[in-house]
Amino acid sequence: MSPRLRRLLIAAFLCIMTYGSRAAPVSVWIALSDMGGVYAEAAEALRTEVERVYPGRIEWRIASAAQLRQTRSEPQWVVAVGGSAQRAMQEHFAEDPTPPPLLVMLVPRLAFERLADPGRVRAGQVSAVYLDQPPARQLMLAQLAFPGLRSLGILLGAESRGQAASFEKAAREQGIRLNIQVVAGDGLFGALQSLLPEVDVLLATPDPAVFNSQTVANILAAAYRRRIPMIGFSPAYTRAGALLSLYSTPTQVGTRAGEMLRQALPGLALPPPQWPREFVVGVNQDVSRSLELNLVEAQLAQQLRQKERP
Amino acid sequence: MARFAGLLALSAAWAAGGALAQQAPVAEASEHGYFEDLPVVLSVSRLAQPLNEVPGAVTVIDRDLIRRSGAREVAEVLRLVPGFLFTRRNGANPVATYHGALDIYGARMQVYVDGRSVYSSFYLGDTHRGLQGVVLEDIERIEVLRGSNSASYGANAFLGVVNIITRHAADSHGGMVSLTRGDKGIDDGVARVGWAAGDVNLRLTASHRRDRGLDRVHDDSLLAQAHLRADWNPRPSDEVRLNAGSMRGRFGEGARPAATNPGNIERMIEWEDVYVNASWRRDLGDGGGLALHASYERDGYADRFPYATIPTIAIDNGGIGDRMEIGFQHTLGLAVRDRLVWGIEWRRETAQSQSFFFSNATFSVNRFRGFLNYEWRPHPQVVVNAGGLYENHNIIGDSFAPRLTANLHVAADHTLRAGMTSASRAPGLYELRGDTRFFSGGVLADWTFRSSGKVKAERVLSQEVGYLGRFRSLGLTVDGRAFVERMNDRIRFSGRTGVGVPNDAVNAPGPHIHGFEYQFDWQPTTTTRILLAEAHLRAASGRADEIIEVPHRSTTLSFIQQLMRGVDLSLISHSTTPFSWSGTNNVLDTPRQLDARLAWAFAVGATRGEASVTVQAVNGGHQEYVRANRFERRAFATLRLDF
Repeated sequence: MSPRLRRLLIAAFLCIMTYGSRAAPVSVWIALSDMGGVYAEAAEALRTEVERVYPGRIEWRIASAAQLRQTRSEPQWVVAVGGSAQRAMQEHFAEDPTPPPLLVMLVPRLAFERLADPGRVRAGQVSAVYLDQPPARQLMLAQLAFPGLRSLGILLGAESRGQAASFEKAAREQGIRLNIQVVAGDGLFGALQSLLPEVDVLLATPDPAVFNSQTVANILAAAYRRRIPMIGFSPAYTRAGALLSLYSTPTQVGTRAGEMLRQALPGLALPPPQWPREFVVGVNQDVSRSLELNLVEAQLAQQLRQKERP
Repeated sequence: MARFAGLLALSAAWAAGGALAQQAPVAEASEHGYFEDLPVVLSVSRLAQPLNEVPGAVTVIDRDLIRRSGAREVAEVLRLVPGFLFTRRNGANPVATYHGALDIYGARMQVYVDGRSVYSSFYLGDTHRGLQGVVLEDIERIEVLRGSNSASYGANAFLGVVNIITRHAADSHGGMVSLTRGDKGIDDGVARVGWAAGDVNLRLTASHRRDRGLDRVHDDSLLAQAHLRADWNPRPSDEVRLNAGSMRGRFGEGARPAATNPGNIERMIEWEDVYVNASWRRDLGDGGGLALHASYERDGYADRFPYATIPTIAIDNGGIGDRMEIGFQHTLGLAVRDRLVWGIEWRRETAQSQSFFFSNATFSVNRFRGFLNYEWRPHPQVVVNAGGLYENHNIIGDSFAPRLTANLHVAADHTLRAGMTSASRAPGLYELRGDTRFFSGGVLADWTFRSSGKVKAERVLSQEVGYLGRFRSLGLTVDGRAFVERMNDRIRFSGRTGVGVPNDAVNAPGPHIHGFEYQFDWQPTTTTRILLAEAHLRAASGRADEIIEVPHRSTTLSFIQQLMRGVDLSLISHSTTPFSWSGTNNVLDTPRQLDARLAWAFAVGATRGEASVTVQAVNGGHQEYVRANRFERRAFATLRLDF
């Protein structure tokens, strides 16, 4: 089916579906974890993406999750932006025998899976666009930036240790040797001391028990003393001194979520939860120079995209 | 001390360990981590300057290479650097020199340990004892700046600078013991403990090193030392470091009385040294920074013995020396990554020795230095370093050492460099104020030295071109350098014609040394590393004995191979063409040494260990320092545990 035909059919379907109600617009809530900031940015990107295809057909209610919970009416679709919005919306519709489908975005996979009902996810009633990057993409970037890479180090915490398997699977596929250390309790220092001598590059993972604003300075410093570069997961990492960062912006996540919502609007099931498709590669040029590397942001991102979608 | 605002001591010396051990707040994964701001940790002023932008040639020897070299002495490790010679005047006096065997104390290079200069001006200028005052297992890496560097480091950075950087205290938490036993009485031990007290990281290391030195030479030695390093980050932008330590040595000296050796009898020299060294650095952002450092060191020798043939003459070579230094450095980050570094430094060295100065007075040298370097980037592919150092020496007066260097990145990973600088070596206190007389029953028996105080600093004008290239697909790094070093005013002793007529320290025309040197560091596979360090030198001089002080070629070839997981083999061959150590008149016949080391790494629970066997001079031994001394094959085994 050509995209044009599909779009036509969907439009026709929407027309028929809304015929009896005098083309009443579809009501969509966008529940923000917090007003403004990255949440609003992602919500705006989602809205723009949907409006591009269905201009004026949606009745948007964009508000903080707390405000939306005061509302009496029930929407046809709910988008939750951020973890606390996901929690609030799930709680809000917990008693509802037919809760509206829920699309979550701007949450890490771990956080989403902790809250979401697996049954509803399987049924296409709940889905998400994660904030984190797929393990394969992270390893691919490491390999692109360091062609002679021998071993990549990963620190995981108690919560994220379950991700070890997916990193190892991706590493096997790409022929990279991984060295994964799980940090237990206050053992960050010991884990780092035994990990760093064994690896060429350190990959930061978004487990706040390991990487947080208090520990990052020390981890970065310890790694750099051994001239081991770090790959971070937000632009703040490259600013702080990580050589590279790989992340998706709220707009990129919001746009992807908009695409998913748009596909499901005609009454179809939500696509399964997925990683953001678009991403940004950041390079700290000062660190790159100091390590005598020649890394160019745009070039790395381009190569990474080509490897992912040849 | 980091004049190049980065490379030296910086990346290791800057503290940041602090809170590593502190408990992270318990938190669940959420999106907040992706959007929170982080403090800027690695700002330009804290980053190591890339080697291809340093105004000179640099060899870096890291911890791993030091361990795998099987060396027991820091000076021995320097054999891996092109242009370095290593010898032992006797087994208790290892020394490394750069570009020729012009002296036996390492007086023509500067040596820093964590930013503290260990150069002693007590006698004739000395770094060989200072090089012994650090435990190999504590070293993070050694950065050797090959080439004259008075423009950054002042007088005595005459032909090169050795920067020894010990591990950050946060990187050596836990315990470590290492025991070595072997031939020739080799008996070494190291014990270390590292811990965190609040946000201060500490490390305490104690070691002893004992051996019987060379065969048929009275040179047994025992060196015991203890070092403390503390690193503290009061704020993310500030780092404070404190080092303190103490060393004690007993060194065999002398020989059996003979016609050629009427008085220098066999005896033990006692040496003691204590030091404290503190530094503070602040990151000002935008590439700027402030640094303050201060150090104090005191050492003393005890060496009393009767003159063998005339026992009424009591000889006392003892003395006490003090060294203190305080310095300030300011780095300004300017537009387009240009950088201006300036600073001032004051250094005072004192010496007190009845026998060296024929006086109980304390003699002192005070130096004041001011330096400035501008790192200018007129083009993205060009870095120009222009600067100089002014030094006031209370005895020999003012001097200025300028430098101009340009690095041109001709292509990614390929840099050409050309530079010119002048440098000096200030006379030691003995050369300036020495007076040695021997009395027998109150009557002057001999007067061997009396300085007129007129001696000037040695000078060198150095020009070089260099190349640094990385061939990443091959795993190869190449560093080459061609140079002309025009030395002048070399300090010599002259005037003694017989008993009772003293020598004086005078300046003489120095040799011109020219040549080229290169190092290849090739890692063809992840388990193999091959290093070649070679220098080809020629000396031009009016003196035949000076020409042979510079070997035509010195080569170190190292082959380091991981045989299987945990099993490591290193083979290091060092050879030179015939040459003679200054003052010995003994041309050594092509010294050649092959060392082999086999190590097995293991782990028992959380304890990591390594057992190794090293055989030095596998090829059977060679002449050492003079033809009569031989360094014979010796083997030793080491067991090291980290827990």
